[in-house]
Amino acid sequence: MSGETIAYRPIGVIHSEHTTPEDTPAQPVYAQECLGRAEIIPEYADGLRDLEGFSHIYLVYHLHRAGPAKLVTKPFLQDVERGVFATRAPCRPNAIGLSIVELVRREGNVLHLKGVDVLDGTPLLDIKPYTAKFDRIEGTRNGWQDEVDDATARKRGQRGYRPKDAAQNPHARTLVRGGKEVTLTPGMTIAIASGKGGTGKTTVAVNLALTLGGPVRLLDCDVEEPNCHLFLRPKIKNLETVGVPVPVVDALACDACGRCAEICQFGAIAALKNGPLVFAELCHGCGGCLSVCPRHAIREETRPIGAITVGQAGDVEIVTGQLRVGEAKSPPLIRAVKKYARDDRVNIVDCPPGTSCPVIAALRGADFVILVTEPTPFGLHDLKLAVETVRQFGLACGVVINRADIGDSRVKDYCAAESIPVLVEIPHRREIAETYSRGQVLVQVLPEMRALFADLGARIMNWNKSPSRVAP
Amino acid sequence: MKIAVTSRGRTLESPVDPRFGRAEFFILVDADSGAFDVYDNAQNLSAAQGAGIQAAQTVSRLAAEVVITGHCGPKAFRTLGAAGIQVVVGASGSVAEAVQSFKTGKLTPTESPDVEGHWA
Ligand code: SF4
Ligand code: SF4
Repeated sequence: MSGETIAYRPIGVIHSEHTTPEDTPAQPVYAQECLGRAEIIPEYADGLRDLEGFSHIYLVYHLHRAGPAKLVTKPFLQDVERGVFATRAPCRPNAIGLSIVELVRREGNVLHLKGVDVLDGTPLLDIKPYTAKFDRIEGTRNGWQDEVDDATARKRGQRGYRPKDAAQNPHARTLVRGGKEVTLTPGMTIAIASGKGGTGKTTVAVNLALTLGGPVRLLDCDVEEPNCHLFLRPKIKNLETVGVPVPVVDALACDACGRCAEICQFGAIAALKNGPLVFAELCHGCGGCLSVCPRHAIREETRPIGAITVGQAGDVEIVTGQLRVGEAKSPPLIRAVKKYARDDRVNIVDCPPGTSCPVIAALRGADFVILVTEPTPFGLHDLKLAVETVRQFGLACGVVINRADIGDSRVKDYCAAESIPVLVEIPHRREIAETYSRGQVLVQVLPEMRALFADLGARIMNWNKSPSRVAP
Repeated sequence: MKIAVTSRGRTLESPVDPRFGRAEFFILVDADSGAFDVYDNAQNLSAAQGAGIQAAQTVSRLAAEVVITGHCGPKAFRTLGAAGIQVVVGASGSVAEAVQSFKTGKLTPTESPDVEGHWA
């Protein structure tokens, strides 16, 4: 028997929102809201008959991005080395993955799933129904896993992924804000976005941060034009330069073979007669060119793309990303700013305007997205695009209508039709515009604004308890 | 001297294609003999980005010393410069006319790209 090779052919492929291994949750329980689907090759479709009778199924799959096998490894949940067979780490002699996921519905040969902790594009080997009749065992011993407390397990198990359902948090604390009780859930991330600039996104971010106060970290990811600090005037505590790796060619070692240009998926290298030409602004830092160069003529250098400052304004901490002038690619900087999100704070992310890659980088992993809009036809148009983007990532969202009385009711009608909650409406008033133009903060000048933003905070913190919870 | 002219068609009478990266064809004209070859740039027409850089590599491979076109963006310009190729922009009319204008000095090589990225 030993040494015999067993070959399996995939029966389909698993699709999920997880595209990088580091951001993929380690277990389904840490991925409860993560949607995905399994597409079964049509020739096996008959085998899916009667599967929809089961609420949960086992997926057996090939961990196609697993590294080389390690017999002793540190599991995701602990910094202690364990035998690989006593863990579910991917680096196994046979890279087989196993997950129990919820089967939401079946559409022909496509299974719609929930609680998917699997990387997008994973080859599926087998499906079996989960049944509580046989599979649930009470009173088990759980080895080293019993040493890991639940909070640590949750945090580490999610890896880069943050849960949409953060309410069951043991560290939640209730504060009185603007005469209202607001229960803050540390570790929760609220992203503030809008389909275009100038709708009052920064106003909402700054005022919400100051209203909640204390345990809040404001992450200004609008890195091309970070404005939050203009209102908060923080004392700077820390500065970090953010760079991305770029290949640099040693002209003496290079023999102009052109392989580096051939491998580059992003067209960042031009192969010319006299050697390659690198376009740093197109490079994604994948390292492909380095690894194929037969003459080891390429090394990696860091090209600065921007800076991050950490400052303190009263009891709010503010982290600001500032992109270098003329720099075209902001997502790496945005991701670097988001690394400052903390599990013991409420993190408020001011997103760049629009719906393109930078916005997606900023939105990713948010537990709740506030979409700021105006009640005008343009506002509605941009809101629809923003909602589409947010839904694509399965994020929960609600709408804040700014200058609520300048337009018509179409934004509200749309929200009602799409069952998106309108969280608060900020009126169009002279004092508000004046306060803003003086660079002052609404909640520090106008008491009724303090109540309004406290209301906003309370509604978001409670969103998962409310009946109008948005389906992704 | 070999001159690469961006062209809408396969002959010397075809109009100059104003785009460099997404030009339909390159016509490689031998300035001395007047002989020419045609290169189809179709696979580059649909490139999402980097069409200018790709096209610059193509004309570099064709050993052109001069490119005559309508407009040239910064990335293509940089690539052509690194390959030691002179760039002439603002050409119009037929390919033959453009070559003639260059030979008589009516069109001269440019020192800088004349459009923002994504145009060419
Ligand atoms: S690192 Fe990757 S993206 Fe950058 S030039 Fe090399 S191959 Fe292209
Ligand atoms: S792969 Fe290396 S040797 Fe070949 S062209 Fe690129 S840098 Fe030069």
